[in-house]
Amino acid sequence: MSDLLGERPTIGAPDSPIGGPALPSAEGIAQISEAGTVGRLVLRAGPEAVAVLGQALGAGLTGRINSATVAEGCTALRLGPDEWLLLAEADSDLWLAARIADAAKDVAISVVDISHRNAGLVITGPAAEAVLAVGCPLPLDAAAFPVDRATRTVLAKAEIVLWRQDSDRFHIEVARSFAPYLVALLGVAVEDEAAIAALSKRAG
Amino acid sequence: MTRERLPATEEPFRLASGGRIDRTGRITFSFDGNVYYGRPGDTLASALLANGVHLVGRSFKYHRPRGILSAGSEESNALVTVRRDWRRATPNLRATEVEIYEGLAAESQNRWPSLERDAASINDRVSGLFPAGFYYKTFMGPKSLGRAGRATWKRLYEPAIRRMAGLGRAPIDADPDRYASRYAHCDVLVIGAGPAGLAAALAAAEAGASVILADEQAEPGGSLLSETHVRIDGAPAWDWLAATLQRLSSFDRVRVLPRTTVFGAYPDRMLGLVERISDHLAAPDANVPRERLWQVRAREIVLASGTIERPLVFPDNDRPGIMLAESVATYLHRYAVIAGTHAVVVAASDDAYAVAADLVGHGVRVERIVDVRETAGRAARDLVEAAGIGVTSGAVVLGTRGRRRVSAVDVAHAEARSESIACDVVLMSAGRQPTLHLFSQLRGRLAWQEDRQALMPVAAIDHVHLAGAVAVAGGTIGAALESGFNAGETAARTTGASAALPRVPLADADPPAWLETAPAPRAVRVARGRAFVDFQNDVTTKDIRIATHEGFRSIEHVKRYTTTGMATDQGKTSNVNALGVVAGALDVDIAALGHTTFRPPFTPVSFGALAGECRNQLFDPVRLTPIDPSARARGAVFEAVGQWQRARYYPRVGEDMRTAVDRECRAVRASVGIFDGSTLGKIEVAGPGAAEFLDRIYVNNLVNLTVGRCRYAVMLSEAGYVMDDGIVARLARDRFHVTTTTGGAAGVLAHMEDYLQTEFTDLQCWLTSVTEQWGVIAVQGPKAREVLAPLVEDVDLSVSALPHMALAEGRILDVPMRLFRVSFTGELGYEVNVPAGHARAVWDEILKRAEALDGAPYGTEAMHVLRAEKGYVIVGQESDGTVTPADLGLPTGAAKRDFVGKRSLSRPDMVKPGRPELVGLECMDGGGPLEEGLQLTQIPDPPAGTPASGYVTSSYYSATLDRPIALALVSGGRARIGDTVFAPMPKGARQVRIVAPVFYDPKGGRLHV
Repeated sequence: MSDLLGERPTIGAPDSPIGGPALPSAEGIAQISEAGTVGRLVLRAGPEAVAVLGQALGAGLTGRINSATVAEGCTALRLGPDEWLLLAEADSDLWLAARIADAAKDVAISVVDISHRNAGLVITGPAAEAVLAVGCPLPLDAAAFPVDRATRTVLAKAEIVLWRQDSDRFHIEVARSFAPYLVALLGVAVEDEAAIAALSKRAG
Repeated sequence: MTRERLPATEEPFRLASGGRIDRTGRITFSFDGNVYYGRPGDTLASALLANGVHLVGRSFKYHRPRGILSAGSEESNALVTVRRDWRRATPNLRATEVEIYEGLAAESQNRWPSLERDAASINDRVSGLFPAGFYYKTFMGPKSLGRAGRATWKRLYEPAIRRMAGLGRAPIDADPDRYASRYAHCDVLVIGAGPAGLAAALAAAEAGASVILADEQAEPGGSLLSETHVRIDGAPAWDWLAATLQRLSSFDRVRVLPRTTVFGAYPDRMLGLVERISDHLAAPDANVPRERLWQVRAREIVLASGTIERPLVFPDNDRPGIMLAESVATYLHRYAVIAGTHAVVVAASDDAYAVAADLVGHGVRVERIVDVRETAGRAARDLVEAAGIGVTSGAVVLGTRGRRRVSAVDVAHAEARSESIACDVVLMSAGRQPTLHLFSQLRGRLAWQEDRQALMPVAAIDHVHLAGAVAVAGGTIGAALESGFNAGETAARTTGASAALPRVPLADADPPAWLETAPAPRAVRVARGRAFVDFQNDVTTKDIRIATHEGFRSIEHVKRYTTTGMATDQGKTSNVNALGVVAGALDVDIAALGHTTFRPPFTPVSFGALAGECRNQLFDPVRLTPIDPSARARGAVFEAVGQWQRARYYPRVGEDMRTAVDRECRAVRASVGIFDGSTLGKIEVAGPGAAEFLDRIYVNNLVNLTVGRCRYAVMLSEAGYVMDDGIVARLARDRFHVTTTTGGAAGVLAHMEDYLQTEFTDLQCWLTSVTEQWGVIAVQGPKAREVLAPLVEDVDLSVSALPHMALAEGRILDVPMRLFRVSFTGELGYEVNVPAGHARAVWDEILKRAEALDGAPYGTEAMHVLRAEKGYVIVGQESDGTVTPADLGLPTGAAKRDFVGKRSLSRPDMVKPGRPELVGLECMDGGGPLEEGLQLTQIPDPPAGTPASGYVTSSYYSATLDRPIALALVSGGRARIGDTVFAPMPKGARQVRIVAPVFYDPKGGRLHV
């Protein structure tokens, strides 16, 4: 085996789905960065499986729909009655999927690795909410969309999953091929927001 | 008053004191090249009036001189083009809304060679040529011209007429400005920042609600901005205004949006707002958006949009200098500008009396109040008597004089001879119409209310609160404050805001409310000249009478026929007068006539604002595959497939498309080709019910598919037509990997999810899109195995271990892989699926191996040719939504109990003889490939109207066969193999032979090596 491996060419770390130019940023407005997430699983499970799985996973699955349950190493975003997006900092298909499959031997579930399907972005800054509102029709103020609220929604012409991690920090999951579009759109939004803010500051 | 008594200044009609303009600043601007001075706070209209300029435009049809009618967004006459630089010219702006800035360059419109001497003003003399329905009648062309003559008419005259009419010119170059957009939500949206709106916003804010207060003007305040008498809470109105805005700004959850027009109301209280961000700035930075579109979802709406004053309809009521009375008061108080030195007031309501008295107080001589009514209200009469103004009651206005500005009003009176009263400004006032456009758009019903002589709401609508003048067609400031405050409180309480409120702001020294409104005009005596109803579209009382004489009865029809109310102002000042004139002509009550529909936008909205960020590269997402960088580095030529960019072919130096595609095809047939199939839709179906679910969704038998095997499968719509196709691969007993067409991916997932959630609820399985999880590299050709063998591990590629239509999971180059042995080329083939992030690197390594074996990358064009040689169909090319699986020669599921679309397959139309059937075509004339889409006929030159026997669905040059090939759908085609049919072309029909649809390796031996 090792001999064979030695003969084979090897490839490096996976390509970033975002890549390209520097990510948008404006002082005092917002900045976009690539999320550190490397593992993603879509878990679908009926109520009988949830109890079994809850113990196996770092994060509980019993959080309310459209919320995030954060635990060491794994966050569960509950996107529907039987749907979770699990985000892991370690490579999910190596350990998380295995743990789930192991725990759910006797119950019907679906676990699908989508680590490469999505790109993860983080937007932080005092105007993060305003920047997202450029294309997200949901109310994003802290009362309507508090910390650890997570939902599937749209941002302009891209479908996203939006998770509020902190008052001025959001995590965005987006399908890989939409990531450059989303970054460009957020870039324009950050610039517009910064320009309008500077203008109203000058106007006093 | 004479000019000498005015202060010595460049603005001869500016008063020495008063107004809200900034007298410490001076702005230089130009109008039609003439330079003037104005002040910060001026609109173009107020600054022009301060300089004595009344002639500002030419009318739409007759090119009549027009001036400034109003002081707000209802302006119908004073439309100008503002030219910021050579790329930035905005036509049809209302001078009453344009804020002046240093260097502003505005131009009049619809005139040539100049505003003063306009050649087309001849239209005014020959107005008989432009009757009601002119455009309908003219663009048809006279019947007598015959068919050819009318074609000439259309080519020559119509463009000339169109050029002559119209207002400003639309810009030709791309708009260089930026436009922003924003969604917002609030508890209470207050529309209009006059006294009622301010009080509403204040109450809602104090109660704890989140509030957006939007106002179209540069400065919030509405009617308070031209109010100098009233005191609110013991302070002058302007002080209260400043304090209130200060207070509002102290709330985190309150946003005041000046220069923001609420232009449209949509279902569930979604409102469209346009905020003008930088149009008022002299030199805005290039990075500042010009406008911002707000899409606001409001839980409650307070509509405090005020009223629009109604003009009077009398002959030649359109001359420059004839203005709405309330607007004259606005210019006086807010801008410290007098619109003229000697005025005549034509009144049909008491409103104008107060303005007349005000003007006298500021040194304007009011020559006469000409009241068309028999008598005015007591208070109004006392007011003007004290001011020493003469009143002629029961008067009829016969006409006006003056070419570029009004110089006199001709008046007839029962007890006296007709007289001509000299003047340089005419005020007119016939009462007010509430600005209910948005109320109507929100589905609020309106009806004509006889006692108010206005269209008024019939009933309240949920979550919408009318406040101030809009609710009662007028009223005092005090009443507006009170109703606004109450509306704001009610709205806020509805949303659950519960904080205690201060008391209602109180007004004193409040001028009386003039609620008397004149009847809408029914019959207008026009002895000479023309009485305009709609100024902007040049619609006169005569036009409306012609329309009713020609049989138009419905107000909606009269509107369209005469175009009254259809200009850019949407009839803000004309609709009620038009209703009155139509009712008079038809001798019916206005109430019986109904009213025309109010539609968005309230005022024109720029395309830029609607487009927002979605332009150029952000117009639509451009989706690239993970392998895209390698394809680009190779110089691939791309094609758009939906949002995807796919490599179409990979030309080498000096190659055109045909040469490159031929070479790529030959490489696949002779050695190996590699293809980026990453855009294929992929769905993972998992759960105990997965097999049964897929069996019900697809035509093909899938419950019996063995683990580790793939099957080609066809999906039908409920109607039985082919909807999509792909490969279903069984990864495990309860887990499948399903592919779809590139374009069908999203639709197929939705289709499956729909059935899973609504029809097949007995099945437990789940669908997960994995389209973008996997990069797909198709390796096709006799040397495909040789390419992959050294790169993969844990997979035995031998034909016995991995035969055609088998799959294996393993690793390639040390990354996880799903390997499908499938072929869309007819050759030995594999589709290597690897996690998308690794796809480019894996592609590069596979390509290196392939090229060492004389292989090549191939694009979508070669892929199309190769599959056509094998007769493999492409859904959407061989099918058009009306094609059954039997038509395409695909499995029909006849033996299966049920699947989606099965019942439809037995409909009579689906089984009748002569259905289109997939066949191949061979050219018998030695020519090049047929054109796709060509109709096929029995004879070379069928007469017009002959139905076609079929049509060409795909056609290519086959390098493998060295001849053109084509696929076609031909009626009853499979029974007609060997027949000759024709494909008529402009230069003669092409002769083709019907053949079987598989051109290459019909036995399929090459697949199974």
